[in-house]
Amino acid sequence: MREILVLFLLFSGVFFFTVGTIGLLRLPDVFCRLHANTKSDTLGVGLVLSSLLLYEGLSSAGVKLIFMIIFILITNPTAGHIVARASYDTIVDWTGQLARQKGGDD
Amino acid sequence: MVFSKDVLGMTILLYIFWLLISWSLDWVNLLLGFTFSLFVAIFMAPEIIRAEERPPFLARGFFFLKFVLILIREIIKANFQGVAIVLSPRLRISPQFVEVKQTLRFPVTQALWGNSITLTPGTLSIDVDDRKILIHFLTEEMVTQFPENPVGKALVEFEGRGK
Repeated sequence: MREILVLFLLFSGVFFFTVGTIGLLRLPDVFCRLHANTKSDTLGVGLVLSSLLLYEGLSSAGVKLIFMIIFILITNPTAGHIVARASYDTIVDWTGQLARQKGGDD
Repeated sequence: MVFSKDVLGMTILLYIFWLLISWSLDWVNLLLGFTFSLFVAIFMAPEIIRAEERPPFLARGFFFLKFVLILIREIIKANFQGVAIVLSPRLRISPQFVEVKQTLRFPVTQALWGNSITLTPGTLSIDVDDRKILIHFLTEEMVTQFPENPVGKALVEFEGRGK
């Protein structure tokens, strides 16, 4: 029974990772790609690590897995935010969207 | 003042972290962990988040827990929405930047809010300051839905309206 749940969590995590990667390839520019990546990676890692946690139980490895989930939940959106702000400030404008929004200056 | 309340709290937090990570009750380990926690807390004293920069986490723990649960629900929702957008044969997106006002007072809750925006459906925080947040929206309908964001409401509740 536990193995079924572990496998279910593991494969749904892998599924969200896959969708995030497809989104990374399909969406047009930096910001849209970050949309796909920040969300699906956070849930993907969360699900994969929770499946490992369920498999491992609350041992010394399990506690480390809990900390990994917490830290990834904190750091993943922060990293996405930094990439987004850096590309907003330096204008990596592949689709012309940014220039339209800023009213055409610089 | 080196041994302030913040340093003491940080030492205790680091010590708990050390105990959970090392997972052993050897007396050398206990002593070593305490020494390191104390030294790290003292050296990092200027960087520790002070009490006036955050809402009281212990006193308002219930609201913080509620915020975390709502955030997890929103992350799952965001992912199913992402699946629907990415896997549809025609990409129906209309990306745009919108500046949104924000009313949170503490730096900690502002940081939490910025990160939550990135994790909730269709929004990505780009620039955050005391008064406003620049957000990148993936579709038009998310702009209209944004003021009803349950995570933002949970954070306002977590801050409380006292002084």
